[in-house]
Amino acid sequence: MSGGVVYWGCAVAYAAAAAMGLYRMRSRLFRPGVVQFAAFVGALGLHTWYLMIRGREVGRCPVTTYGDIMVFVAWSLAVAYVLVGPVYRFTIPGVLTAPMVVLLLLVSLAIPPGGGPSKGEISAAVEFHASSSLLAYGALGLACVTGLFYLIHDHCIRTKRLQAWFENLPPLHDLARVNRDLMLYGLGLMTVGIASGFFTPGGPNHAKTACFFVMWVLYAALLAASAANRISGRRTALLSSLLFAAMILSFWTLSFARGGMGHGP
Amino acid sequence: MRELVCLGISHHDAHVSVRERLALSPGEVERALVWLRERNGISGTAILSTCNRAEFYAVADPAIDFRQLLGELFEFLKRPSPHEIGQLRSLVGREVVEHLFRVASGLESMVIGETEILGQMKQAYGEAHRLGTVSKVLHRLFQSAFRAAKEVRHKTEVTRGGVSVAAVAVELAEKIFGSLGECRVVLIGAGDTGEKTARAMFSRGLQGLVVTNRTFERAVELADRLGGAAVPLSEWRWELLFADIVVAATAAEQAVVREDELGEVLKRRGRRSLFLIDLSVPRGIDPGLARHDGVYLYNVDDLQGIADQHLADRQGAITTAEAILERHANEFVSWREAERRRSEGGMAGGPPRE
Repeated sequence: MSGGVVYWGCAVAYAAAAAMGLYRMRSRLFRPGVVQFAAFVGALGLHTWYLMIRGREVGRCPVTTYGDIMVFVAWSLAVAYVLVGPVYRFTIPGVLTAPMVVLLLLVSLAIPPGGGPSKGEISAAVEFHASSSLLAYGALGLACVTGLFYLIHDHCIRTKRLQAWFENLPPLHDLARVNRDLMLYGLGLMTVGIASGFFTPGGPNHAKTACFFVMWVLYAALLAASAANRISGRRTALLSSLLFAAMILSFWTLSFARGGMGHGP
Repeated sequence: MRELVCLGISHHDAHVSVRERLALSPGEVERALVWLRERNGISGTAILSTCNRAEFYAVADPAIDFRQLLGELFEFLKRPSPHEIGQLRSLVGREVVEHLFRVASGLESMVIGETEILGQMKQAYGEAHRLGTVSKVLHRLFQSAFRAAKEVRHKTEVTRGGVSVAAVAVELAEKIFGSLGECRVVLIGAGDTGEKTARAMFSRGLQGLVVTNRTFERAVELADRLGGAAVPLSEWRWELLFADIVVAATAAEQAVVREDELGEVLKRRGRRSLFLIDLSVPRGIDPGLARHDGVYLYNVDDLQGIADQHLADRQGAITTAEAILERHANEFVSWREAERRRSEGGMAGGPPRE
């Protein structure tokens, strides 16, 4: 089967899951139905299959163009949806995952071919480095989204403005736990990404490595402070969102300064 | 549809002094169902008897005087109530369907949208089913009522949000901590208000409760009743180190939870969330505490305001709920008509040929 057919198959399955999720949301049902969840898992299977086909096509990890990166980030969101657990799946952020994935897949089609990471020598270390770094972005991005939901929820409770949709947000403690878990996954993947960068041909990009090492230290400090109750859930959520924004900004700034995306951290 | 009948009385129709004379105990319900099962012309019965309503549902031959039959039933039960039988409201056919659906959905409840009635109705149906008094029509009727109530619950605001101060406090606690199973509550004051709130929390899985009161003996008494521990008022502050929720329900003239006295404890307990519920008038918790990160403070006006809003939301959702119930009632009536035509057709055509 061609990559295009698999790609559209997975997009349609995600869209079906998204439609079912949004329809159920009208009835305030956030827990995915059996068919909806099966459609999502099926879509994820096709998505994985597409990445494998694409990987064979380009002869490397399928993150060679900006479009590829979108597809890969969408895949990491979908994996997180399945792996993070019910607290995430049964809530508004969970319901919005499928539409977000569909959107990313459509955006990836709109991006003109070409550009993207430089296509140097094929190396397993580079592939591993790039994919683990992108997965780290996915996990930390979701931590950022969860953190934003925490801040909204906290604001609602603190200001006593309890609108109807407020009922559909998970408890603050659950959001805090998911936020911490995702940061922990992200930090682990970031560690792997940074470490594997040292084994790439030509060695790591020093500016990016230094930048991401600083981010790594900040995330680690945030997690440690949160675990020790030295910092409130609200500040943890706020900082996790700010750190992600800072990381994305610094990544793009360094990439533009170099005139291309390079190999990531 | 004339065979569907309901005779009943509820808080809408009569004072509790009348309702209590018609309410049946579980043992009486069982005896009544068995007695009705033996009567000619009655093919199905179910009895819903709660503190707010006593209702007798039946699928009966239209020729039968169901009210008179209930009079005989009460005589059989040795209940001196023929006068109250005359006050029972009578519903027939589609009226029964609509009424049952409204009751199941909580639209006929004293507090609109309360969901306890659905459980009581399921119990009434289960009892009738156990005793073999549920006919095909009654079975379909009750199942349709359960489905309709479920849809109303999911698609409208009718059952949403607590409508009492205690219920709202518990909902907010769950919005902060999730399950209350791992929470620890300090209750300051041993009065009714605090007890109600603590009981509401226990009903949602609370495990750890510490009660403190100016009169220590009353704290011990309440703690024993609720299954918690009691501490003297002079020592409660250290309980804050481990507490997640503090409920202040005192009649003290000054705040008993004061920011200037809790500085050290708050510092030592770290940045864990703390939910302060102030049910006292005058206020028992220093409002300045709400400035601390991770501290959420609600006083009795805040909670009452939310409860009132929920009640208004429920009232506003009645029209939507009624539309849902009408659709379900139409479906039931259509099914019943189709059944009737089929059985009449079968009778007209004689026994089926092979």
